[in-house]
Amino acid sequence: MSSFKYLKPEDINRLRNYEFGAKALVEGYLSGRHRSRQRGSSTEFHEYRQYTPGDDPAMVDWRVFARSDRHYLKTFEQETNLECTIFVDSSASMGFREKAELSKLEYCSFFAACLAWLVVSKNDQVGLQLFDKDIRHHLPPGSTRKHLHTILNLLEENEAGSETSVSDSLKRANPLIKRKGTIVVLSDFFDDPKAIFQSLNPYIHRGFRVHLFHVLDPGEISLTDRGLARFSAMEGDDELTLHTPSIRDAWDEELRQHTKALRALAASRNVDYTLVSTEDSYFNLFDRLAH
Amino acid sequence: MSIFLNHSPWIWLLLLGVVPLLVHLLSRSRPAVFEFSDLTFLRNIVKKTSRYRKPKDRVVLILRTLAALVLLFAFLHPLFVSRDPSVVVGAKNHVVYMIDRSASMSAVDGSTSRFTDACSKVASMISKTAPDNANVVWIRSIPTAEFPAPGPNVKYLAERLQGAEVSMENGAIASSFKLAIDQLNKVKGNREIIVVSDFQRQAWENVDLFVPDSIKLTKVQVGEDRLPNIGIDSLTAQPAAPVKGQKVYVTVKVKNYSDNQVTTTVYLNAGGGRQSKQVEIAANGQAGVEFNAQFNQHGDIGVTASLGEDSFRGDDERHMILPIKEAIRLVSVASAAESATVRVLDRVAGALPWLTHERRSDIPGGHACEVLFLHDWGGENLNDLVALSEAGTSVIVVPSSKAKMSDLQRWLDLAPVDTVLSQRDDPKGWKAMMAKESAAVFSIFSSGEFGNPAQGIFRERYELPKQWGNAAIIHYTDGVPGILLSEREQSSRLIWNLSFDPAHSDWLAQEPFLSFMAELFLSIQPEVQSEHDVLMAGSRVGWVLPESVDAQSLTLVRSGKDELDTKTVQSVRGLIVESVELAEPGMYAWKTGSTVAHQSVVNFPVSESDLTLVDPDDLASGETADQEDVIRAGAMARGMPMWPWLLGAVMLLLIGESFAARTKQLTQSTTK
Repeated sequence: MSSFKYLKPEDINRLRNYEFGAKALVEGYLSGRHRSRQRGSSTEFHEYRQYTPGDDPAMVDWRVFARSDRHYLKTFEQETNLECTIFVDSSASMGFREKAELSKLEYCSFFAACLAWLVVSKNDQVGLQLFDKDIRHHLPPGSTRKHLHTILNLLEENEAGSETSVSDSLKRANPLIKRKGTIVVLSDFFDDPKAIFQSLNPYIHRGFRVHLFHVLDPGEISLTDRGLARFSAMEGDDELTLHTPSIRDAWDEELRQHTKALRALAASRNVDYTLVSTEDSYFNLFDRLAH
Repeated sequence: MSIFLNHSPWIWLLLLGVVPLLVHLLSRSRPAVFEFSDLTFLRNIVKKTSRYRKPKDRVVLILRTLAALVLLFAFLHPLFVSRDPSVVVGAKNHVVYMIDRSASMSAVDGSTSRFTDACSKVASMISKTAPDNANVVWIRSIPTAEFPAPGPNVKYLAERLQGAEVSMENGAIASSFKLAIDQLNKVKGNREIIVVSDFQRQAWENVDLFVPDSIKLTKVQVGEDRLPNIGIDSLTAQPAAPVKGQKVYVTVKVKNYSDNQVTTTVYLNAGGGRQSKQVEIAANGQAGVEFNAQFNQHGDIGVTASLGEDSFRGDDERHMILPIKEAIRLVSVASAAESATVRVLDRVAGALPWLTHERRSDIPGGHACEVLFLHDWGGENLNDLVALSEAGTSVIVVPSSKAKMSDLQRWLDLAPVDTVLSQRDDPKGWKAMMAKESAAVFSIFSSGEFGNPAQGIFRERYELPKQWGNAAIIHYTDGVPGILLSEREQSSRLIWNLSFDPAHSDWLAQEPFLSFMAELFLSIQPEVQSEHDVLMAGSRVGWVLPESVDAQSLTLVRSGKDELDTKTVQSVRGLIVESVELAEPGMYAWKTGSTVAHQSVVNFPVSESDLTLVDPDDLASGETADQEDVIRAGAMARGMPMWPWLLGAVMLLLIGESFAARTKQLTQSTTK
């Protein structure tokens, strides 16, 4: 049984049922586009299965048919080149928790741990990058169990740090990721949307599949009525005294404009963008990956 | 609160009450700190909304400040009152209300007259300030007071105010103030005069108000500045005492007291006849309307001029009494009783129904005649003649051969000459003509329609110097004066050098002769002062009784109204019967039984027609206030409960607070 903080045994059990999601992530996307250039040597026998209408007749094993007079397909497990790098925003703002059980960082850590387990369990490679205004840890992709444990340990030791700049961190990480693959960015994206996507452009041009998970606390999605309150920034020393009931509408509008900008830029670059509330289960994010 | 008011040094302690408010306003609240992920969005919101939030915040701040100031003022209000040196805390309050009752107060501003407004304001002030002693002094031509001295019976004053009526007279302001000050000098304590008036410009502009420092003077104005008005300024007749049948010119002068040109109708009622004329009067201008009238009966005729519709009615009517004489009395003084010229004048008088002619051998004294004709004047009794002329008798002298040039020169104050008076005869004769066509005597001849008034041949004349020609109204064609005229204040003096003796002239046979003689006697008849009184409203109608009239049988009746009360007063002029009340404009008749023995006229004072007001602040003394100020000051002087003020201020603050709580969205942005 797992003894890691962010990888619970019940989550592992549940992840096993998420094979389709992982498969979609690995095969539907990665295996299709990252097929090996040396096709023959890269396949290994997987199993026989009975022919069903719609299967490719070329896949029928005619030798077996000659012996048994039955149509069996010989299936192969294709070796893919998936490299998935998970970016976890570890800035101070990610430590915010108001209404949900988990802080944004904890929520992201749970999801990152599960995703890493899922990827490694499929013998693909997963890397991890923890960042705030600097890159705090960069773990290149790997597919071993030890590598997974390293990831889980890093997540466990990780804490919300100082100020953040998603765009700067993505920019700096680009030369560290040698091979194209998938990057999954988990952040609250309190940054300029244009700057974020300018940083993502090199990845997109190199053929990376990009998933952005915009993780917010319910208290950020809808501002809680606190009357007259003094807001102290978790990043920096700023303070603002505000009358929250009076600015709730303005806050909603501001957030709506921000997410709208992110969504529009993502759509234009074929990037997958999802706004996530920490109130929801992080398993929902796998559904998003499966799309 | 009255504790503070009675101990003025403590009054500053009231300021302590403001401390909590100031603490509340000045203290900065420190709400609970809440750690939030990122302030970027919040800062954007502040930036966007501050553009319209800041002005709103300022408005809220101003409202709060004003509310605080009102509260502060409510606390300090007694201080402002106690600064008045004439107010002694704890002393009795004596107030004399001076109410203007002059004619201009009858002007109607809106729905009520100025006087009604003044009375209601004073009644309100009396009931709300409740002075210990009060009195009302009416500003009239002869000021009156309700009490001999300020008294406590304010209820009676209120009743008197309710039934008071404005009078159509001038207001004697100085004597009214004297009466009010004299009244207040009889009492001790806080003394105040409150003048309630329209402060009509003509009445108040040059008034020098002197009120002792120990008496507080407050001026309360009623009425709006300048109401438009049209008024009759004067009513005159020419001649003032016409003869029956004589044409009279009645002139009505109408003044427009407004900035717009107006058209109005002027009516004249005289001797039972009524005439009307429409007149246009320029803005702030005056126009004269002339009526012609003729009266065929002698006696006193009442003449009334009136105007059409006007908002201020008081000055729309004016009266006069026109004495119509039965005849002009002409007296001839001639040495020869049967002289031809005397007979000619007899014939003239016989032809003119309004002329009587009497011949005498000596000069009559007193007012025996209006015109004296001396047929053969040799220069005698010159001083008597001058005295007679000055007394109001027109005198015509026909020089005789005994007369000296110096006598004639002195008679008319002519230029001295060194020639000798000489008489000349010429069978061919001389012709004469008008020398001054503009003279009144030639009013019907100047057009030429009636011919030459001196038409005919004159075969005898005195060689009067031609340099006297400037005094001549008729001269011979060669410039020798024919008739010399000198008009004096009340009469005329003439030198006659036109012979109408049939033996020396055919003038009397000429058609214009009679017309000329008639015009001459009408024009030189002396100006007679009417025996009837013309009084201004506000005076008492009185008559110095002749011995023949019994005071007991005399009644005074105002035209169209009831009999008036009278009283008798003994004076150096004799026994005077006069009205008890001051007279209103109108015509008054003194009657013995049903016979009118004497008439008097009371007219509206013209100075009251201009309804322009003066700013009370421009008057040297006193302070100007409105009714509410007076009530408030009165209430403060006797101790005013402050709690309504405080409650009001607190309510205001609460409303302001709730308003602020509803609208205030942002207060401030601070950076550590």
